[in-house]
Amino acid sequence: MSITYLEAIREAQAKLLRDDERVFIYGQDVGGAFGGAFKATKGLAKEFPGRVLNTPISEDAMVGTAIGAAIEGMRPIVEMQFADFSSIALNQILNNAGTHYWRTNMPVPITVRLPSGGTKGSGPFHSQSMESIYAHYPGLIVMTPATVEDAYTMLIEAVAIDDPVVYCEHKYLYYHLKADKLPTEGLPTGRARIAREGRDLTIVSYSAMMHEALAVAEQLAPDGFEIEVVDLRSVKPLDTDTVLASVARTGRLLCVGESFPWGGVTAEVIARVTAEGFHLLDAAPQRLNAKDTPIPYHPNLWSAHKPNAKEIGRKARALLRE
Amino acid sequence: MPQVPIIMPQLGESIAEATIVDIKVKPGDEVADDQEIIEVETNKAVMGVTTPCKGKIAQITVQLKETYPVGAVLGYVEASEADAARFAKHAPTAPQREVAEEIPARADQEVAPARQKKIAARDGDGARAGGLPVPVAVKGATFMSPRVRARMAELQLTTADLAGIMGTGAGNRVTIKDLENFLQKIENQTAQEASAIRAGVADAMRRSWTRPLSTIGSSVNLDLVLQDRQSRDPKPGPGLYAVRALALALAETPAAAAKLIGNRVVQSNSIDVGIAVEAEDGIMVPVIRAADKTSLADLTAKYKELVDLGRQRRISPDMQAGGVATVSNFGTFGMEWGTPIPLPDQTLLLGLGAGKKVPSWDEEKKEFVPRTEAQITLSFDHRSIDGGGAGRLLKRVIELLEAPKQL
Amino acid sequence: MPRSGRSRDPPQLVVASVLRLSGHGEHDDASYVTEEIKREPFARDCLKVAEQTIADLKLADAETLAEWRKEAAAKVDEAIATAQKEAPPEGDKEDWCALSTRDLVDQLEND
Repeated sequence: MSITYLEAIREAQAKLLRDDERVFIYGQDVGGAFGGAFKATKGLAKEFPGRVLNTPISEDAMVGTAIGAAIEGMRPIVEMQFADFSSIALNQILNNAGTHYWRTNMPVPITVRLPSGGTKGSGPFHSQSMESIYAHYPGLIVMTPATVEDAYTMLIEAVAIDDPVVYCEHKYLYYHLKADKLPTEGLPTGRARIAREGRDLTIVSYSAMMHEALAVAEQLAPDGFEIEVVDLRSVKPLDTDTVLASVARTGRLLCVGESFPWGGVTAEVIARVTAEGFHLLDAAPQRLNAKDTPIPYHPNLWSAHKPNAKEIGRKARALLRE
Repeated sequence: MPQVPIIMPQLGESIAEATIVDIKVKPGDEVADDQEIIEVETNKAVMGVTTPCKGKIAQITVQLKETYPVGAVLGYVEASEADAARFAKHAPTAPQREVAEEIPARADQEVAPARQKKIAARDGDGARAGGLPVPVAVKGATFMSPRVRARMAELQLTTADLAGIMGTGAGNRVTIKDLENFLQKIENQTAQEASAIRAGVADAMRRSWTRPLSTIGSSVNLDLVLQDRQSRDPKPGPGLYAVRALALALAETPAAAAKLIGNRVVQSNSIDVGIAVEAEDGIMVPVIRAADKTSLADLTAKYKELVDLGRQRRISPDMQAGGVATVSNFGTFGMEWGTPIPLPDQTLLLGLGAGKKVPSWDEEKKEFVPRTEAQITLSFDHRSIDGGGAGRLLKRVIELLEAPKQL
Repeated sequence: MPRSGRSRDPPQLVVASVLRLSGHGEHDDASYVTEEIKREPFARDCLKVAEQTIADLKLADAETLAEWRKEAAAKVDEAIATAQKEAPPEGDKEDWCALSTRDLVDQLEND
């Protein structure tokens, strides 16, 4: 039996609906027979009548309603059809959900699922990775699962957390990533995972880029380089300790992310390592992100816009030569 | 009328900014070319800022007691077209970047590089930011990463300890892996903790070696000294004769012992000469103050004292500081000549080798006669003194040693 | 059509409810649209309705309409041909600049 990343998300939602009557799923086309644009809720509306609800095409209204429901004791999972569209709900997520506990001492237990990253031809408004934007604002937890197992356990944990969680699931991983079975437990949110042990260079990454980093580690192994790959799992909170421990082992750091280059996760990791672990660095830390342009439509440009194993490998080799 | 900016001038090689201490003009004043209108103070001196050209002060944009960087605009002079034109070429401009001359129409847009930036260097060379020099990124064999530095600090290593490591990093620099491999290798070799004296000598020699050192040598006829000492009680060793001779020679030419510090030649007030005394685990170099004013007899007594103190390990760092030169009599170990290293706070070290009976040509008798000859070498800091000066000094020392009644 | 649309009054907003006649994208087979809905008046192809209305009101004859169709089709074909003839973009030759003011482009990486 094998289970895909997407199926893990569906299974997690099924389990949540089954085990907790406060949970409901709220999004565009999630209900009925359609089961969501990516089929993440396929069959759930039937199995859990009245718990998987279609919304109008208004992200603002979707999240606003969910916040209200959460304040009243529910645990809504809002499915954004594409991460990109969540910008319509920015005010609700950042200013209403994110500040609520700070202002009223009452947390808002909503989970917003963002199908992130692109697939060929998805263009500028169906490909974005918005974890850097949400991580920047106070009051939010931002998850970026990279594995089938994490997709499952972290979504379950997201709903259990009393604070607003932005859950960034990667669209490319939906069908490309498979696992043998679902886990019964996982690392807690806020802990990064050493995806591959190494000695010569640390690549810190998350979500789909983590797999590119693993590919690079494989490529460089025959040349005698042992690359350590750290999977952040959640970008907020960010597990600085694990990153620092890794850099303590290797002395060299490359941080790779799929969001735009100005600021963001890679900048944050490097800022922390430079400030707290300067004496651990044997060479200047480096980062790799997507380009500072909107995500192109044409498949040729789309694939060149974000980092890939080749580019990461080149940067890693240069850093190893320093 | 065009306005010409008044710019804070380059005030000295290492000066980056200056403070306004006096403004001698106000807007509306007529000024001549090269007229001093503002006084600025740096950490070295007060200097004047003059007008770039003739004209009328349009505005002064700075304030008294405020500090501004070299290259900053201090005000404007309203000048003639001709004068302004002169400055259009030479006045420093804001960083220049190449921009596309026009944005081509969509239809015929070529792929044009968007990232061409040129920062106009003020003086034509070196990277600058806002008029101030910016250090070039350090790469190459001397680059030490923060991690390497931290590890070195942890183990109290110096760059001299890294000399034996072949760096595999960019520009052959030593990476942390190179360092760890090296440390691993020496783990497998027998080692013991270095004594304080060993560590002290190592540090002193390392510091001394940062200078360009050179050695010249000649031979000295020791027979006269050997004869002279027979008539003295107690008998001074040849080393003490050398201390006295060197002290007297330096008293005649004190400039020979001057030190170069920065761009100043610093002379000592007293001819203090050190003499090497062997202690249990190293050499101590106590200094004899005013050796030129100390008779050979007194030197001998003083030396005996120091030898005793040396054995008791009671020669303090204070007793070894402040000398201008040192004498090392390694002839006592049977060595004929050497290239001793001057102490880090001194510029001269006179080395006396062992005396040997050799045939020496006597010009008068026109035959070889037996002589007790020793090699005498003078090592010196080549920044403070040249071969010529060192040679003359050594020659004088030899002269004095060959006429010991003067000592 | 509101008659006031032709007057010189300030801009008008025309709101028309029509049925999207295909799925949202390639992934969408529009299987959720029932036969019942498809039979509703608002589910008619508005282009066909317009054509019929033009013919009924004798605003243009069948020949003219056919001409319009032919012209429109030709324009579309030409656009497709032009696009297909153009060389595809290449990532490593691309300008990658999102601003029209080129000297304000942020230098993010030392390539």
